[in-house]
Amino acid sequence: MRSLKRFFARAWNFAAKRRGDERLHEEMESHLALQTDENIRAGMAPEEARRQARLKLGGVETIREQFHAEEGLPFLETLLQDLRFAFRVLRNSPGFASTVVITLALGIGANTAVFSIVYGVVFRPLPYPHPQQIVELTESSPRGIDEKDVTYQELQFLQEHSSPFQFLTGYTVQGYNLSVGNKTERVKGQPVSTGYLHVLGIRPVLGRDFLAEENTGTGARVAILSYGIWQTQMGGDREIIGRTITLDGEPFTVIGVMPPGLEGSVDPILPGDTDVWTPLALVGQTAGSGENIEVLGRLRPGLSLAQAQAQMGSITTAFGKSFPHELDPTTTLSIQPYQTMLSSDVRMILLVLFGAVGLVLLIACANVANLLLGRATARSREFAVRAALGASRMRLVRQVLTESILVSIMAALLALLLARIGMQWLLALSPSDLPRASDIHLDAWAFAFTLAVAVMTGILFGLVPAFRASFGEIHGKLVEATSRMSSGRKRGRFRAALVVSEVAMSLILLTGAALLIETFWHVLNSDPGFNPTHVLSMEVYLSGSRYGSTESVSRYYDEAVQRIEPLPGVQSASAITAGLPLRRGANFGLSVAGKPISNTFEVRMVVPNYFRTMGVPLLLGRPLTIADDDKSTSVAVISQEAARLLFPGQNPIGQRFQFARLNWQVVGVVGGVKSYLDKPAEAGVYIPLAQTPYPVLDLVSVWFPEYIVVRTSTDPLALSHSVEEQLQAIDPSVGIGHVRTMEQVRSAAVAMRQFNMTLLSIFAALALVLAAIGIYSVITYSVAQRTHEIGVRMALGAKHGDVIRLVLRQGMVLAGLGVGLGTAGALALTRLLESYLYRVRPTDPIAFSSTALLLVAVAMLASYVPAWRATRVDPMVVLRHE
Amino acid sequence: MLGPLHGYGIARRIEQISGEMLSVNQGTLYPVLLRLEQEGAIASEWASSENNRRARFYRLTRTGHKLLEAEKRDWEQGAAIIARFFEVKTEDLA
Repeated sequence: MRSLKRFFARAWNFAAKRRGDERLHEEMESHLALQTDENIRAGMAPEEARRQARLKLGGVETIREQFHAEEGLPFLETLLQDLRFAFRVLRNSPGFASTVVITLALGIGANTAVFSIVYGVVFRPLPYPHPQQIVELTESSPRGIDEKDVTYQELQFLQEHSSPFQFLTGYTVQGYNLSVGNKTERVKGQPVSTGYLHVLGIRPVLGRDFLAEENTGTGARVAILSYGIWQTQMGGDREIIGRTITLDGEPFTVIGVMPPGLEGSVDPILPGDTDVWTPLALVGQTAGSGENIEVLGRLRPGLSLAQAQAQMGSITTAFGKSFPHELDPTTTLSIQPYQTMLSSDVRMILLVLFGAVGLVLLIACANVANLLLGRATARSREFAVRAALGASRMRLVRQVLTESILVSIMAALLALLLARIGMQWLLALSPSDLPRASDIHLDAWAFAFTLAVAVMTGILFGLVPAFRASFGEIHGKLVEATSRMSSGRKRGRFRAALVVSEVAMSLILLTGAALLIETFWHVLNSDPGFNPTHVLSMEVYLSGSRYGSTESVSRYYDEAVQRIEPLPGVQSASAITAGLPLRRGANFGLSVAGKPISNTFEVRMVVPNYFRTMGVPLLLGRPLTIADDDKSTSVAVISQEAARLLFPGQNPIGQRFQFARLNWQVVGVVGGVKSYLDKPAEAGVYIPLAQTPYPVLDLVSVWFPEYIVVRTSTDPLALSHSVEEQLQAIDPSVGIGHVRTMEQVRSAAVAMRQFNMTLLSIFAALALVLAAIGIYSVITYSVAQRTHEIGVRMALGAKHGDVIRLVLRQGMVLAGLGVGLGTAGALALTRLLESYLYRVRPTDPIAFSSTALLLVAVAMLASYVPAWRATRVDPMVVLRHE
Repeated sequence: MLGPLHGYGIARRIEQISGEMLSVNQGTLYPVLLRLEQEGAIASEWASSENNRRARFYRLTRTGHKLLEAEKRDWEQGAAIIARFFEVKTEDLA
């Protein structure tokens, strides 16, 4: 308590130090006067009286100084003094200051932007109470950890054996046609089992949670709306509870509204935020959808992840007994934090990018340290004078560090501005399937990060120059600073080491970028198996009782094709369900002669002319035609890969396989069409939509839109309006969305790669520029130091070419060392990128040699300018100076 | 004995009471007075001295009185303990 009081008193003195000082002065004056009076009264002469009084009082200045040191806050005072001085120094050299501030601001700003993204996507705690207790069921096998989908029965089993969990829930996703009035919109639905809200620890902002009885049997038709859809579609009407909405033509009673800002479930087919929640029991029993339930749990309070994990062993055993075919013997059920699972796909690459941008900052620091060292040399006289006047070494170090931290904090302020702009740009660039994109903000964490980084960089690039400034004996420096003697070899060597490391770090970044660029090129140029130019695609959603049979769906598409094909500019039109090319398809198992084939097949339902429209080559047999309808034999066209798997070594034409309890006869073979550009084509099977059993169509429509595809002879998007008009004319209640060309579909498929590649390339380019500046400044400095030597050489007959070679050699040595070190570093680090590469090995010689060459060329250029300048040295001028 | 007194008076009083045994640099008194005032133990105001010189007069505040009492007690206790160490004889401990 008392010490606190003292601190406030000291702080007060610090703020009002003049007052305390004046007061002391006043008091002592008054004391002197009184003592002098008394001395005179005692009979002394006035002069003597005053002298004696002074002697008795003691050293006034010493007392005042001591008071100052004891009663003020000398630390803060020195800091202020240093700050004022640093400001003055920087104002006197605005060119230097702005170079340093801008260099650092670029480095720090890039780091802040990437930090915000990494933090938001990977590290920011989920917005639920005790988010670390929320886990997702996974299966771990020697191959790694995967999400675990279970069936409805398995979910029920798990809910009965959920000892480590306080709550356990299952969910799946599905698309719904939401009709409000006469408007139909496709929304993302999430059927959930009881306890879903308890697992997340949230409550509806309006209305109530699902009741247990609403989630039993075949489920009740009730729905909870998302905050977003409640606001946009229902105008935030608080009377919504108890009202009826229409989902896929069925009436649902609204029982609640979720709080805003819920994480969208990450789903490869239906990304984005959920719009409506329904009871899982509604879809749980359906054959196919029942196999795609993901399980979330909330751990019992106080139970650690490891403890819960240990209990999963016995659950695995029980689970294996009840569902003998479900688990591989090598796999076990396990759990992963929900947060980890949400970002698992992008975690690694984001961390790689974060590391890359960190390297850029290190390079920027090395550059600034280099500049500061140059200045420290120029200012060594100033430091020598200070030291001579009695400044301690710590005092000098402190002053230089204050300067560098001031610079880096100024840079941090600018960096925050840059980060704000940069982040908007990055978010615009980021692919739409980036998870948790809504959790990315420039917030207090980013601010704290920026400040911490700024102070650390300030110390990092300031420390060496600071110690340089304070070391060494004063006399030598005073002499050195005034004379033309060539100075500190060691200092030159340190600067060279800085530049070598800069070159090495930028080589690492460049190599990484080169590998991603090569990969991107390979991915973009890999044959997707169809011809994406001049193809228009649009999603259509048929639903409701009017399309409750294969016949009605098929009739819609036949009419659509008949109406679209005559349009000018249209070459052919068709339709497909269960996934466009380059989009994930629906996996099914097939049998041959009653025996199930172990591979899965992507079965798509198409209407005639699909292969011609999409430009998929027919290799054998015939395509599907209008004659393949519900009255004729069920036929199929299969891909080469499917033919190999189904009928190895046989002519597939005329063979039969079983799918959906029907026999299908193969009439044709087409080339493989890729669902993922960077993977081999899946085994594809195409059956006529008109022959597809309705339950299959219905099941597929839960996840997949159906697509109208149109091949055109001109710009496809120019035709989109007239195509939409024709579809409206058939049935205005059918939802249409996502009108895109197939080239746009291909771009979307590589969006994440493009994002990573662009980012790493920008960082590498930044690094390259910084390294070039570094080489340039070191060579320039060294040329300035060696002016005398060069003059002498030229006087002795050295030609311009000799001088240029002399200087260039120095630059090349630095670059060569840097490239050597960088190559070693890159060999070690590019392995991190391995899983992101396609048809490129992490040690790809083209990437390594081209980046090394690029760096050497840039280094050559950067040292050529000072070399050329060196030849301008007039030997006579230099020698006269001696 | 504890009425308002100016700095010079306090210095004189210390000399008198200590019988000229404690003759410190009088100047060091003022930082101490300032510190005591900041702690609230004493208060001060300008007034005229007995021979019509303006001077700052210090007086003990209530806090000061309490502080003095406490310090006095502490000191007496401490002194008493030390005294016993000097006074103790071997037979006392037997």
